Amino acid sequence: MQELVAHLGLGFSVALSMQNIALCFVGALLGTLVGVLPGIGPIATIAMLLPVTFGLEPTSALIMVAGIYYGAQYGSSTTAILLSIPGEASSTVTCLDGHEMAKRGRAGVALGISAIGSFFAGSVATVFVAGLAIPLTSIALRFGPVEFFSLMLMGLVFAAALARGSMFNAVIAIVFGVLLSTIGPDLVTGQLRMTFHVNELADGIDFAILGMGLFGIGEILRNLEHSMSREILKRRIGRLLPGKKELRQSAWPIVRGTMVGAGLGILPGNGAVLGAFASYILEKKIARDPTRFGAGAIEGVAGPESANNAGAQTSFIPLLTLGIPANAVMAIMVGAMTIHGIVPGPQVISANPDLFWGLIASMWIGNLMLLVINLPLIGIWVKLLSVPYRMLFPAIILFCCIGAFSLNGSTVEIALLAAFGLLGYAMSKFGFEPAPLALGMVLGVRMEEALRQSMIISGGDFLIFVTRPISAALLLGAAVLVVIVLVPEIRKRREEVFAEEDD
Amino acid sequence: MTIGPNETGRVGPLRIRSPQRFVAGVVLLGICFLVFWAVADLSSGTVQNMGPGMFPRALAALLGISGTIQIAVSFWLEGQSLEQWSFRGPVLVTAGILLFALTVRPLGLSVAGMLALAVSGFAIQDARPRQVIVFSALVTVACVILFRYLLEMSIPVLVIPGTGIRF
Repeated sequence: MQELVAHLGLGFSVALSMQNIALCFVGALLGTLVGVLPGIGPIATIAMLLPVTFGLEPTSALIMVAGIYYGAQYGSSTTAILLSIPGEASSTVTCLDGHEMAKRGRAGVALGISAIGSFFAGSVATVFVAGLAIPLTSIALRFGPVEFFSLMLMGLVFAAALARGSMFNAVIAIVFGVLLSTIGPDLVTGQLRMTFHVNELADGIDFAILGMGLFGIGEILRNLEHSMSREILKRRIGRLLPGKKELRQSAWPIVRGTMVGAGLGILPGNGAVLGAFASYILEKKIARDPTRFGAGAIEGVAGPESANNAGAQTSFIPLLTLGIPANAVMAIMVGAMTIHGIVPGPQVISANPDLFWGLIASMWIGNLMLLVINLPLIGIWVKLLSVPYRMLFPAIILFCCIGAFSLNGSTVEIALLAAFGLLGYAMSKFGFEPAPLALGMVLGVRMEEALRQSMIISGGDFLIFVTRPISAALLLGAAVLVVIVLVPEIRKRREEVFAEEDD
Repeated sequence: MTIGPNETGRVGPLRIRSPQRFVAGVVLLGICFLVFWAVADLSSGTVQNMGPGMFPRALAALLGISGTIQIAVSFWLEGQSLEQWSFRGPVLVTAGILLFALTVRPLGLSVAGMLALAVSGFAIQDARPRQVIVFSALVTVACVILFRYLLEMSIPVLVIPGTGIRF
C-alpha cells in the first residue's frame, strides 16, 4: 500500500509539471475535437494526431497521447448521445439511452453524467492499474517465448470470440492481419518478404497507416453510402449538472460499471469492448422497471459510460506489463512509444520508472481535464456537430493524408492509406470487421518471433505449448471461451446482446 | 451433380446459394496463391529451425483452407447475396488521396491539399460545386498554417517547378 502511494507520488511529480499538464489538456482538447467528428473513433484520431507529438520528449509525448485518447473517447460518447452515431464499438450502447435522453431535452444531463461517471471510473481504474502493475510485471518477467505465444494466441482467440458477427469471419480477418505483419524483413535472416520490390515496404507496414486507412478512410467510404443527413439536435442541451435524484439513480450503476469495465478491460483481445455491453445488460436486469431502458434511462448511460472508461484504462495493463497490446487502440500506443524509442514491455517499469508512473498518473489528470475543461466547452462541440458531413469528410481525408505523409515522409504510404481504405470498405461488404484484422497485424510479428523461438527450444515439438503449465493454462482459458461461445444457449444470449446494439 | 436439399425439400441442382460467401472464398484463395507465389524463393526451413517462408506459407494455407470451406459452403447454405457497391465514393476518395500522394512533393501542400479536398469533396451525392471549391481553399489555408507554421512539420508548402520557388 505504502509502495503504491510512493509510486503514484512519483508519477504525479512527473506528470504535474506545468508543461505536461498543458500538453495533457491540449491533447484532450484535440482528441475531443477530432473524436467528436461523426464516425471517427479513437484509433483513427490517435493515428491522425500522432505527428503533433513528434517534437516532444517521450514522457510528455505519451502523456499527450493519453490525453488525446481520453478526449477521443469522450468525443465518441458525445456524438453517440447527440447524434446516435457511435465513434467506436463500445459507445454503441450509449446511443440507446443517451440519445433518447437527448431527444427528451436531457442531452446536457446525459453528457454530464457520462463525464462524471467516466471520471469516477477513471480514478478507480488508475489505482487499479498502479496496483496491478508490479505483480503482473514480475509474472511477465518469468514468461518465456512459449508462454508469450500462448498468451497472444489466447488474446486472438478472445478477439475472435468477442467480435461482432461471424466468428469464422473474425478468425479469417485475424489470420489475414497476421499475414500482413509478415510483410517486411525476416526476423532472423533479414530477407525481404512479400515486399514486391517496393522499398517503402522493406520495414513492413506502419500500423498507423493501417489504422487510419481501415478505421478512418474505410469508415468514410461506408458513411458516404447512406445519406448522412443527420437529425441535428434542435432542442436545447439543457443543464449539464445532474440533480440530486439523478445522481442517486446513477451512483450504483457507476460503481458497478466501473467494476465490470475494469475487470473485463484487463483481458487480452479487446475485453474492454465488452464492458459497456455487460454493464448495460446488468443494469437492465436488476432495474425495478426494465421497460425504462431504451427510453432514456439515466442508468443506461451512467453504467456503460463508466465501464467504457474503466476498460479503456485497464486495457493499458497488458501493454505496460507484458508489452502486448490488448486492442487496436493500444496498438497505436505501441506505435507512439516506438516512435519515441520505448519498447513496451515488463522492462519499462524498472528501466524508465518516471515514464511508467508518469503515464499512469497522467491517466487520472486526463480524466480530470475532461471533467473540468471539456464539459463546459460542450457548446463548441455541439456547434461542430452541426457542420454538414459533406464538408467534414474531405477535411478528415486530408488530415489522414498529412498524417500519413508526416510519419516517414513517404508518398507510397499515402497510397497505402488509400488501399487500406478500400480494404476496409470491401471487408464491410463481405461481413468482415476491421478490429480483429488490426489486432492480428499488431501481434503478428511478436507471435512469429515467439513461435520460432519456442520451436528452437522444443526441438520442433508443438507439445511444448501444453506441457508447460502457464502456457497450458492460457490455452485452456482460450479453449473454455470458445466452448462457451459455441454452446447454443449462451450463443443465443450473445446474439441478443449484439442485437440490442443494432436497434 | 446434385447437392443439398433446397427449400422445397427436393434435391436441387448445383448452384451458388450464398454469393457473398462464394466471392469471399474466391478472394481468400486468390490471396493464398498470391502469397505462395510471392514467397516462392524463400526457404521454409524445418519446424525446429523455421526459415523466412514458413510462417507466411502456413498463414496463407490457413486462408486457402478457409476460402475452400467458404466456397463449398456457399453451394450448400442459403446466404446473403452480394451487396450493392457504390463507385462514386470509393473512386473519388481514392483519386483524391492518390493525387495528394503524387503532388505533395513536387508541388507542395497548398496544391496537393486543394486537389485532395476538391476531388474527394465530390464523393458525396449532394455535393455543391461552388461550396466544395470555397471550402477546399479555406481548409487548405488552415492546414498550411496549422501543420507548417504552428506544428513546424517538414512539409513543402508550395513548389513551382522550373522556377526554383519553394516555400
